[in-house]
Amino acid sequence: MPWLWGGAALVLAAGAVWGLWLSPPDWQQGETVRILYVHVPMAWLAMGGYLALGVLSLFALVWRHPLADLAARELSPVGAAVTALCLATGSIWGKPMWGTWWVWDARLTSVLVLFFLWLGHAALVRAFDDPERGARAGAILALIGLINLPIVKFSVDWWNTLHQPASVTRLDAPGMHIDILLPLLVCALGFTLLFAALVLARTRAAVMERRIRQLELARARRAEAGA
Amino acid sequence: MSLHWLHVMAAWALTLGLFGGMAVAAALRHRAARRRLQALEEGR
Repeated sequence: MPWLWGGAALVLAAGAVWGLWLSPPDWQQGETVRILYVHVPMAWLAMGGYLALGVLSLFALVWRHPLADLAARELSPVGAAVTALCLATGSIWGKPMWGTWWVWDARLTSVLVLFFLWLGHAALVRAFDDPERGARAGAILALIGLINLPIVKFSVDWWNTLHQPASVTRLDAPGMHIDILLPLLVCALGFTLLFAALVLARTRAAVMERRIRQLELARARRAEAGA
Repeated sequence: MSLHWLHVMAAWALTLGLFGGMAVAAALRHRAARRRLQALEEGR
């Protein structure tokens, strides 16, 4: 684990220096383009993380894998946080560029729905006395919510939105200059490593907490039998 | 500092601050669980 934390910190530090100081300002947006280096990785993590939640939920429902339940439970608060950051940084970027903090266009609204799905999952898995029932309900919600991912992705093509269309993940070629694309990819890698380290640390802690509950229960039973 | 830079710094500070907070919380939770588990397994 320390290598993952260390790797994330190193890559992120390099990305921050590159994105904030070494990369050029945009010819149209000026310095504001530097918000891209945090906003876009948050958007990718919000969607990629939700896809991972869907896969974990499938494992939990079909193969009843106990670690999949725990990992999904620990993933959703982190996913909700990155989606909130995507919305907040987008809003901070939108004000100087669009002249408004928020519009109800298809991209922004579908990402808000994604945020509510993350929050709903985090709340639902913790809402039951029986953790297995909570995990099952959360897994079903996560799988139903997968339908929102293509809506988020293609919202800018299907509807007339204020949000710009895809510029990195286009099929022909990226619509941004290499001087901006490279630091973006480094920042995205750094935040992805940090995201993975966070979810792994939370999952490992959750595994230990489960073991602690088992040991405390066994100890209480022994004390009861001895009394 | 121009208004544009203010927005840039706000976005970066928010992101790094929240990630930093989550990392510290996860590390503290992990350490507390490890210590409690060790104590239980040693019979304390």
